[in-house]
Amino acid sequence: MAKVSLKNIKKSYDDTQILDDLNLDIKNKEFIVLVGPSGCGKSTLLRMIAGLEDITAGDIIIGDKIVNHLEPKDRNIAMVFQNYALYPHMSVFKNISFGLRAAKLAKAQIKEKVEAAAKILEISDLLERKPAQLSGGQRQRVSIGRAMVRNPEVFLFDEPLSNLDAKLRNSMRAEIKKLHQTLKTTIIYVTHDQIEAMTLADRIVVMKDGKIQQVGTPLQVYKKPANKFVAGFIGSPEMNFVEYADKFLGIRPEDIYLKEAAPTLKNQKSISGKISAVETLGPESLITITSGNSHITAKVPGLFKGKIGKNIDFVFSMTDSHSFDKKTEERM
Amino acid sequence: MKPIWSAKKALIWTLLAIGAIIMMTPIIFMFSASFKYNDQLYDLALISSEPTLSNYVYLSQNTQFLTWMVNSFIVAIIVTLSVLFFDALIGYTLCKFRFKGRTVIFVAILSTLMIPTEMLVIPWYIVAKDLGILDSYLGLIFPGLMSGFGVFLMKQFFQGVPDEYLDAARIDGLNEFQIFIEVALPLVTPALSALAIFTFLGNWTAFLWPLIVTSSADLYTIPVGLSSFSGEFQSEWQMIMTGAAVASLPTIMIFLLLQRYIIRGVILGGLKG
Repeated sequence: MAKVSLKNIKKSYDDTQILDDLNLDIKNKEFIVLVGPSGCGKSTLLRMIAGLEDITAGDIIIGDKIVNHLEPKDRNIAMVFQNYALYPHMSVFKNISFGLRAAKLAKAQIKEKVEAAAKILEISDLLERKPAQLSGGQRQRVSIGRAMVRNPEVFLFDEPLSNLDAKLRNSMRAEIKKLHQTLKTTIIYVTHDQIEAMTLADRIVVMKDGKIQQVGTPLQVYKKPANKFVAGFIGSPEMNFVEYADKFLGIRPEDIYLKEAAPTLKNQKSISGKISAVETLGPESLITITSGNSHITAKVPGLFKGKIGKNIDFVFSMTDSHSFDKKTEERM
Repeated sequence: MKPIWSAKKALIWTLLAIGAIIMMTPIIFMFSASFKYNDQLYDLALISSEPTLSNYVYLSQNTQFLTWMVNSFIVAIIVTLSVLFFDALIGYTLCKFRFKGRTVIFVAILSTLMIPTEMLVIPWYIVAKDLGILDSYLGLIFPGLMSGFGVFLMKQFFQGVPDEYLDAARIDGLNEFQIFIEVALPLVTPALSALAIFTFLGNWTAFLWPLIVTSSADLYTIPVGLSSFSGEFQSEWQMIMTGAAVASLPTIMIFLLLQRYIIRGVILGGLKG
């Protein structure tokens, strides 16, 4: 069990700056999710914590130790990869026990550890199979098993669910959450999927262009986004932005109502426009209107029957809206 | 439903059949000739009217053929093992590690492919003479211990091995050499088999260098030994054919044994499916 500190971390390849003076303190047993668009440096950061990538400047501290120059195996970490990286020529048992055999543990001890991990992950009856004979979900379980048997202080996950289909992704997500509660270790998890970030994280770290944009609980990041980028990145569908005086006004689609169906709102404002798109999701509908130059999307409950091209009125509360400086795009 | 025999298929099969006949004829003739007496050699019958094993008996009892065969085995096996190990190691390093001069080294190695053996034998001879290894196993073996072609082949194959495998092994605590042996090599067995076949056959049939570097008949390899049946005024063709027939057996066996490994199937098994 360990806390992880990143102090003034920099990374550059030749002249390209990948990570720029990054600072982050991760608490013991915390589930931290690094989220951001591709190319924001989140995977590079994870690989640097793992020791698979050199750091250009700064310190990485795991527990009380500066690990900048330690080999991956000496950092007390384990990593789960996006494409599982199971050795195709070895059975599941050998895959899981590979690191233990390299560390020259006694056979009985290896067997015990592998079986315990297999039991938690419900893959006990797959131990003799080869990776090619497993489904995507089973392969990901095996790769988590391989990480578990190392008893790491810190688990690193690099987009572990990206290759799974939507249904499996949901159930594996729940299992990873459960696993965190069972193992009580620090987890650093990289994803570009904001739903994974929102549901799994104790704290979310939103990154863009090698810089941390905001660190906070899922609710903080959702309710009080630090800048326009975070506001647009977290939440689905994306937050609406309207230029208003000298600022950007941000309103989440779920905070916008049809005028005739609106509850009483404090500080109510209204927008009217022509319906340009209607998407029916089942329990709710997304309605987009065009008003002047801006497109505004609202998420309304139930089935919406309005025709495209028709004029319609939306209302929202100014209290629920977010204001961002026009120049700096920071929250006001 | 498509017809089983289309015109395109018929054409392809005809061309393949012609190709096969052209390739097979000399080999069949070689086996056929090995069962004939000298005076029947130019009678083109596939099976002689009086087939004989006398050539085989003569070859095993009156010549050093067995010694030559052992020599050929020793040279081909040592060279093959060495090429497999070193070429895979160099190819892996050039493919998976970034260091200064990597490209220059790779191009330098590639450029050796453009120099023909005929040009190299003189420098090799001088080196062997200076090292005092003329007319020895070491002299026979040393030019083949590594090959530019093998480095190129292995580098290309290692490009198909995802870095995640190596990263996973690094986290599992293996050192770089263990990763090469235990993780990377098993993933390129098809390439290793192909390289093993090429190298073994190339050395089994090598003629020019063994001829130049050896002077005592005890150290001849099969091709050099067989050439000794060919004199200035006459050649003992039935003996050459018999020797060549025996010499071709191991190569046929090796191909049959290893060909099933030349399937690039295993490598993607552990990745997303």
